[in-house]
Amino acid sequence: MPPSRSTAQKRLLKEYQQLIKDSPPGILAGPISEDNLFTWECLLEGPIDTPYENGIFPAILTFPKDYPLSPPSLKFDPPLLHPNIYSDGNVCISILHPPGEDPNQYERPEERWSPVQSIEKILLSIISMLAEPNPESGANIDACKLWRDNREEYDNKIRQHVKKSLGL
Amino acid sequence: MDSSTIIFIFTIVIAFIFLRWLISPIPNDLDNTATTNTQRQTTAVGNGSNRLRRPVTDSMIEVVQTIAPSLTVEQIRYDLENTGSVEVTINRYMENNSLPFPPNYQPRLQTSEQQTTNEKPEEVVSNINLFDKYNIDLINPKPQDSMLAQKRQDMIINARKRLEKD
Repeated sequence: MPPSRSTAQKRLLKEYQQLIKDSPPGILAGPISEDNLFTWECLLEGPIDTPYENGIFPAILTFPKDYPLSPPSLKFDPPLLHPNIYSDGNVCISILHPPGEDPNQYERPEERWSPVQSIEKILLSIISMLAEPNPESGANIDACKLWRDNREEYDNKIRQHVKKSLGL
Repeated sequence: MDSSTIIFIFTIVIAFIFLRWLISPIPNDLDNTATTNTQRQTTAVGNGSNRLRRPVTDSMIEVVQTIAPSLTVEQIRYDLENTGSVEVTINRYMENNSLPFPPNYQPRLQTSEQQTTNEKPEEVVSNINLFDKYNIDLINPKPQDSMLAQKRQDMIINARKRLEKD
């Protein structure tokens, strides 16, 4: 008999099956190993008509033991140049922030994490974040400056990253 | 003198002595209990000359650390061992903006450790090239074991083809 699964594991398994059944375009996500449901790997396709177009961006999703009460964290690996991604690859986005009021009053409670959200919604939010950075809550100051002051170079740098990542 | 007055005075004296006897042990008791479980609140021993090591719990250190994040755990523990009270330690921190280091404490050792741990993750930054990262052969891709790896391979190869077209 398999060991009894925790609420978090049941929920993760359910979401994984859901993602296999109808996966949204441009998103691939699943546990790295069947033994550990709490670490997922995802591949995100860069949204079209943005410098991230044609790029494939791998990221690691790490779930807490009390998922879905607490949000997972998402880290781009390798790190990606973007105003809302820290230089170590961690993503700063409202849907990944713990539920409740924002101490800084920037985000509405409904934007933040709650157990009714899902992995699919997180990944879709990340893709729309790639298309439209939110300079108000910047995580990477250098990327913010570049994005604001010199968009051309910012776009070029990302295109180069995409080419390099695909071996061109 | 009226006998009732004598009785009245006598009663008052008895009552006074009785109350004295009743009240006096209480501070003693408090002192005793306070020294036996010193983890808890103020016995207010502010004088640093008291070298008795008092038991310090992790939760006490945690409380002080949230108020004074700049202090190291060693500083807080050392001061709590002297004061035995979270409140006194916090007051001392508020007054001096810092707390003394323990006598044999070497701060440099710790900072160098932190630096090395900070440097390590930067070295582990994984390969940017996805074909190397996932060991994918572009010319004749191998079938992958798991469904996820197969999809991953298809996704990356498709992206490469799209990029080549552009």
